[in-house]
Amino acid sequence: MSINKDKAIANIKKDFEAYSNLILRQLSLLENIINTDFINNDSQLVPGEIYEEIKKREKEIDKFEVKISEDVLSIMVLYSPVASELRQLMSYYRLSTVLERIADMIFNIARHIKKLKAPEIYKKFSGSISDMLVISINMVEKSLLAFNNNDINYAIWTIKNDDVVDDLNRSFVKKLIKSEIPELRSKSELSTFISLRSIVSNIERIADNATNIAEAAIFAIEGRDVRHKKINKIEKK
Amino acid sequence: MIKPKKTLRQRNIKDRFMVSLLVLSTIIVMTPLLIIIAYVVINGVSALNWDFFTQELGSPARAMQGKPTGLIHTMIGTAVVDFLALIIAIPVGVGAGIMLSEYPDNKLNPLLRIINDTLNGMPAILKGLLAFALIVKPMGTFSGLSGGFALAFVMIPIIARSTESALMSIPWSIREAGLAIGLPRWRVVLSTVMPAARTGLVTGFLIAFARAVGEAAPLMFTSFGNNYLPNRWIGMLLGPVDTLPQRLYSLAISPYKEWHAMGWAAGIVLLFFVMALFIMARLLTRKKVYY
Amino acid sequence: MYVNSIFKKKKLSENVTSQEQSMTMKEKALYGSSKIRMEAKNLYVKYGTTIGVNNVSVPLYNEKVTALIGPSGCGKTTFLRALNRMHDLSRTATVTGEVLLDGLNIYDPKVNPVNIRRKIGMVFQKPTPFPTMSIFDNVVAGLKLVGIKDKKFLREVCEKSLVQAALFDEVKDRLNSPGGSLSGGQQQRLSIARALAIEPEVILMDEPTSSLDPKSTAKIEDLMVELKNKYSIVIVTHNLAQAGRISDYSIFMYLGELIEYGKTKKMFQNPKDKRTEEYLTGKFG
Repeated sequence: MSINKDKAIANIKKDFEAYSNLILRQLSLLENIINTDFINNDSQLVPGEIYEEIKKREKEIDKFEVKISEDVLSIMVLYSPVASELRQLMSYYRLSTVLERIADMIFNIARHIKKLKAPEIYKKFSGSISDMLVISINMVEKSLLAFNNNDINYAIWTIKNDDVVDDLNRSFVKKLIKSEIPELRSKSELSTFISLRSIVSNIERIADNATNIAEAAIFAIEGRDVRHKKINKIEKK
Repeated sequence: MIKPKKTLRQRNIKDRFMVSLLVLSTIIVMTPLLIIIAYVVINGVSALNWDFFTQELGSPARAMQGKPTGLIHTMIGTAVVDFLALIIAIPVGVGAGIMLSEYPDNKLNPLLRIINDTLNGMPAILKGLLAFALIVKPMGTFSGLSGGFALAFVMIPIIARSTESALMSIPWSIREAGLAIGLPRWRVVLSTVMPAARTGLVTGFLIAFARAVGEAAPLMFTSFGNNYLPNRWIGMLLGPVDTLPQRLYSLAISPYKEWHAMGWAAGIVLLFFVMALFIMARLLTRKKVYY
Repeated sequence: MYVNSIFKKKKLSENVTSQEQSMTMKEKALYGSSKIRMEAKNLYVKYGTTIGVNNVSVPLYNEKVTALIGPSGCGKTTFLRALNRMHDLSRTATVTGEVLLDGLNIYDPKVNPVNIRRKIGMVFQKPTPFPTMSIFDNVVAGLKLVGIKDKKFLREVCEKSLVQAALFDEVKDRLNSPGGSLSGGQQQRLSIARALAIEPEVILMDEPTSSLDPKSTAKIEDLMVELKNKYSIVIVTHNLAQAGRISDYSIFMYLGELIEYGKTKKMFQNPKDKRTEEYLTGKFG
């Protein structure tokens, strides 16, 4: 009776895990790029092969997004799932978009870094950018773990750390503004500042999306919709 | 494909052989009936004439002198006594059948069933004896009334059984549906179950009737017999009355040759009457009911 | 409609139970406005030594559809039948506990079960029109056979019930044809009309659409959603999608026990008990 349905749901789960792994790979590539060690090597800011790999993965990721959405739709129409299966499938549907957005942001960041006009300024701030990125990547990893392995603690951890990333974002902007007087800077230097702002924004959005993943995990596991709720209320259970 | 052990041809032959065995046994069973019918008809057809169906019997002299004589009073008497029996037996028998089928948890039921089965198996002559003791003795005379009662005692257990059977064949869902709209139990039985079972019920009446029509023994000392038709209708109930099976017997053992032929003719009438009843019963059971 | 019911009570020669007579006006008002129409309290149904319903206590809400779901043999039909004393007719079934209708226990020895069944009607899985009666006679059987003879009244009731059961337009020209001449879906709607004609307060349905084609099923489901406005409905169904489509509350039973009950939307999305979860996702049953 439910053999086909169980098989189909297991397939989606497998696909989603592969999809998650792709994203995590992209993130680790990005981490490599922003890694301080690497930067001090004075070659290109973004090595060609890594950039191409990120670009190629983008295409795979887009395919995954479409496939998972379609598969969820067909299970809904054929098997009318309820209870935990319903929540799981709805989460897959929502998260396929979220992961695609994260991938987009990764790609944006890589592109920005490649096109930076004043690398010295970038090197000055690369420490704080790297810190933010590390936390965001951690958040994505943990939230995906939470979702794929039904672990609610990692989900809660992720939601908590969103605040940390928000704080880092704000303090970075302050630092940027405080650091230099704009009239004394050249055009290329100014454009670099703006690009830095974009890069950090994107990293903050990656963290936000990790929060979305964590919220979806809680919904799938417990059935509670915790979007736009305060963290202490969520932890109360 | 798994091949069967015997070839198709062998199995066909065996099939046809079996069928012919069945046909043969059917013929063997039907033969006595056909012989009886042939015998009775051959011997009695000579006495079947217009007088037979319009005249009373009268004394033996009448027949010996060739004067018109017949068995009309016997046929009327049979009809009266048997219908009287039916009128008595139907309410009692149907009532017992309803009790057995619809109220199985009633404490009287086991007793009822035992009595019914005993009555069913009891020889008919004993039922005649019962009627004799209950009606003939107090009345002081043989009568159609006592004959009716005797035959009713024959019919009642048959009707009770067939009613029970007909009612039990109605699916329980009909009763449930009636109860679910808040009808009391007796109403459900009367207005939903019984009408649905009416073919079965009527068939039961016909079969009981056909059985009773052929009973001679109980009538020998209840309605007793009469060579004439009573003057008033009430006389049929209060005085002795002639019935076919009993008259057949009397005519057969009489020493008069003319009466023997009439006896065979009475047999023909009886035979065809019973056959007609059974054919009617069979036709009725063919009718389909929506379920 | 209130006038109608007074009129009907005068016509019906069935007497009101003594329990009802002794209820004060205040108590009547309380239960009339309560959201709970019927309630089972510590209900047990045993067939000899086998327990069919094991200590079930659950409310049934007014003007709502409550679905009874669960795998085969879990006791939902047994429970349903206990709600209108259908087990009285079984030789082996014993019922203990209480079933309250508007606060009154229907198993009280002073209560007449025949009266109860006029208030709590039932529709069965297999449609059973009375085979020897016409459509008209079938619909008004619950009135005609208890002594109501007024032809005009009967015709009104017949039309009203058939309209409510969404069958009137299809049979209005042949009310005198036999009840068995209709299709399966029509016969089931006829059974529903028959149950509606006696103006019950609660309607129990035992898998009413499981022997019908999808189109008739859809018609009857629409009917149930309409009827909800006037009657309280309890339906046993094997079809989870159907329960999802039409019920407001669901009761999940397993092996004779009450596992979970609540609003269908919540229960189907987020069941509290693991067994409910497994049943809903098809792991058993």
